[in-house]
Amino acid sequence: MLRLIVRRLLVIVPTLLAVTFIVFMLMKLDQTDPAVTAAGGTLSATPERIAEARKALHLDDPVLSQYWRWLKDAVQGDLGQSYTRCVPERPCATTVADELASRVPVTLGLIGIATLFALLFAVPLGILSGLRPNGAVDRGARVFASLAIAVPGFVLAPFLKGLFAVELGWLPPQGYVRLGEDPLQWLRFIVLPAVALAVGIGAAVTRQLRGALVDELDTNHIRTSWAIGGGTRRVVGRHGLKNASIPAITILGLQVAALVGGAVIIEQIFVIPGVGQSLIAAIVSGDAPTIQGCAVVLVIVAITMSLIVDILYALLNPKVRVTG
Amino acid sequence: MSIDGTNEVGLLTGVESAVELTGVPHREAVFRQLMRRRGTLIAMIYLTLLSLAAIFAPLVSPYDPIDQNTPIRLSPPSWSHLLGTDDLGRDFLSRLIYGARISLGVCLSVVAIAMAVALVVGLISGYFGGRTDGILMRVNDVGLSIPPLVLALAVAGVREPGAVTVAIALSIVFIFGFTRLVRGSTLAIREEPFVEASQAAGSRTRRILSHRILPNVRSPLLIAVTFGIAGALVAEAGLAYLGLGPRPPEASWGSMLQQASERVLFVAPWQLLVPGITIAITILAFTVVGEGLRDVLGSGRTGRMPRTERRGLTTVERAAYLATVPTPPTHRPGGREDALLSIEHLSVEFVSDRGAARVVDDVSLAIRPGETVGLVGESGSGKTVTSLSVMRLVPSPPGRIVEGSIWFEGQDLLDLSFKQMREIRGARISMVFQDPMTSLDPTFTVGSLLAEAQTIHSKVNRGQARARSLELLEMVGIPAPESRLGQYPHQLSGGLRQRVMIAIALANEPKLLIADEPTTALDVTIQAQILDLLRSLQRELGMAVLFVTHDLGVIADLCDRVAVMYAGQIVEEAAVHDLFERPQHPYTAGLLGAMPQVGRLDERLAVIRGQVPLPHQLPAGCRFEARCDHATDACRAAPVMLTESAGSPAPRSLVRCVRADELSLRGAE
Repeated sequence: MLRLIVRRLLVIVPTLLAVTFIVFMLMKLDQTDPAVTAAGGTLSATPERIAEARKALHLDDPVLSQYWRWLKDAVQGDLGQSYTRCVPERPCATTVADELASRVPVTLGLIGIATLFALLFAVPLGILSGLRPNGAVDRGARVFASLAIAVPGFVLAPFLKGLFAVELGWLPPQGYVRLGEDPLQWLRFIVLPAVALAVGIGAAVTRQLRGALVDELDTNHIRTSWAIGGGTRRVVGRHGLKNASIPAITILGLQVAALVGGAVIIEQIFVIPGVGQSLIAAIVSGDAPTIQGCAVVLVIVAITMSLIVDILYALLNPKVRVTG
Repeated sequence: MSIDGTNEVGLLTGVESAVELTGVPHREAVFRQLMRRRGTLIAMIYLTLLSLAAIFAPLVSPYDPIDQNTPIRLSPPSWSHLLGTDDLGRDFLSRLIYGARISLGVCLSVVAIAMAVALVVGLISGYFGGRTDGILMRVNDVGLSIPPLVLALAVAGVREPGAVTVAIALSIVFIFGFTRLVRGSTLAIREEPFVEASQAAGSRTRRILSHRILPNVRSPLLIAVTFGIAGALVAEAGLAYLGLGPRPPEASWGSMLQQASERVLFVAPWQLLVPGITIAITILAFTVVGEGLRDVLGSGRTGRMPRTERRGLTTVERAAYLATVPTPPTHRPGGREDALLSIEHLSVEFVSDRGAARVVDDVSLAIRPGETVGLVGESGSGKTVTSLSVMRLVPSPPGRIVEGSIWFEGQDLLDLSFKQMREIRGARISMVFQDPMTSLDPTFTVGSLLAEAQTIHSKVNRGQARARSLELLEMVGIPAPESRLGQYPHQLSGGLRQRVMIAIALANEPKLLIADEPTTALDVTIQAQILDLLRSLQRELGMAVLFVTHDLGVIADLCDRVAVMYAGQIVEEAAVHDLFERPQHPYTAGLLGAMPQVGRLDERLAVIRGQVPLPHQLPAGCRFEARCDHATDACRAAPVMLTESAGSPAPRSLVRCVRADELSLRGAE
């Protein structure tokens, strides 16, 4: 078990190196000159200021040494300063790292609540459908899952907003209150975005859990459980579900990346000050250090979440746990 | 098909569908099958119309999509503007049709580009394997670990927003997933004999790749491409929604949605519906086609399956059957007097699309307390279904008990409710199954499985359960039982697992143990050990045993009496010595002749020619007639009854053969 975690943690390092390198190189392909951006944009930048910025940011160094410099700083937690919010001669108080530190919890909260919502409906629905394939619940759930997968979160989001915020006025249409300030308000602001994120993921998990349970209830060891006199709760709940949750968890792991990506769009729609919102703003303005920082953080979030899923998987599956 | 019960009939459909699936399915056949599915047909018609509209947009659209007409802005659907107008008075329908050009164009090119790259990388990686594969896949895994949207954003951020930027960004994102799929499919096909044969014959690599591998990985890739287009549609709309899509006044569906939600969400929320529903329907259509392809090409579970009647309990429907026969069989209420278990006129049917197949036909069999009875037959003879029927463990559907009764300790097991049946299972009647590798729950330890078998039927605390578990493990001959309690089934050998299975079955000291081919899946030396164990346990505990097997050799020194089954019927039942010495039925004699024996080494083993008839195609007369060396016209004339054979000593043996009295068949020594 410990070996599994250590091995997975060791894989994270080269992955992160590769990701940061790729993103760094992509930034260098950008046609707009970062020195101009850093000097205040095409309108206000004077040639002197551009030259100054170029020197301060070491933009004339070879690309690889620029990456090395960035990496050295990044390892120490310094992700540089925003090109657009700060200028070289007037460094602002918050660095990219500070900025991200305040934004990561927001994104994590959104993803966490969305996962919770997804599981809250996916688990009972998957079990009920799997128990009675082609029963009423199953047929309903199948139609729902097909629709939910066909309606992306960002298509659903404006409708949710329109219905629950504009028409009914039950929930705020957009914005954010920090969890620490007012937990109840936080929840009110987070509900709609989380639902928009959760529906598609929950539908995928429902399908997988249903299929896994149907397969599982046909296995030989389930027959053994009936044969020793087990009742439905014991056979289905204890043996069937434990085995069926293994493939269902795999699907959840695959959905993690989609969840992180989805959060970027959903934050934009609901004006939530998370990492995604910052990433979009940085892309629009060509703010390379912020893009870098956001990409790294989002990849770390995705990898960590899939590591958690893997650990859950190992906890349920003794074959992985004992031999791995 | 994991349960043996379904296997016996499932063989029918299994073989036929396997025949259909060997080789690459014919293109036209696939198309026809797709068209026969209503949902798929509708989806394909929709997608065809949509594509045509997109291609001929200038001809089809009623207005110029960028023609502004502010006086009629935000007008609801009307005859002149079928879907209404947007906030600049532009015709929604026209914008939608032109938007389809961009949305579909981007998706199709994304999938085409990504698949082209993935084919090259995946085929190379999967076919050559080794270090090439290792490096390529390591790189690919890095790509897969980046959330797709983040990667697409990073790529898209480099260039000016626009449809081409989105297409490039998404192509890169899609490459990694496709590559993994191509590589996986190639790897699977590469191991196939026909590819190895081509390699051995010296075919050039490029030829093997293009002529042998590519045609065989086509199906999964086609499915992936269809789902891929749906995924690209979502991603394209997402990027457009974030403002990275085509620049105004051009618009894809995603950017139309974004404009509507940004500009008029609070004024005219209905404006969201047009692009929103279009996106959803189109994604749904691609998904439906993808699912249709998956079902037709057979690389997934088919969606349709019969509804489960009652999980864990075979359905009994005797009334419907009895109404169809003119003279119902006479029943002895309570079964045979001296019997512990008395199966009376049991008939079981398996229901499928093609009607009901009678897999167990009028089987009667009794077991006295402490007696060991063998039930012998080939696979498909109905022996396993008979034994599962006693436990009411034949899955329904497809199985259904249509006639008979099974008397046990004064109760007809076929009358019992699920709750009553549970009290008997594992307590009074236990069962050991054929495959010890899959019959134990892999996620529980041996100790907890053993404890569970006890706690279901009696109130025991942890300590008592543990003590009894150790006792049971010792009883089934497992050395160092302490160390086994904490282990999982996959850590044990097949023989040990079967011993654990037996220990579980014996936990509550049952009166009857049903052993369904308990040694078939094991090595020969282990088989002998398990048989010895069963024999000694039977003597020690004095329980009755129903031993189901296809192996007559096993029966000889284990059983008191033997019943031989053929094509769902019992064809002969006799004391074990009588059966071996003087078989009455040609089938039994054939089985004995096919059995290797000491002292007959010089002779060739006899073979019974032909095959067991399928339950759908049973002959009217004797079911063994087609394979029998002694068949006459009388055998074909009418169904043959099971009768007491005249010559045998008491208790009389039973035989189902019209010529039983005149034939003198060779037995075994």
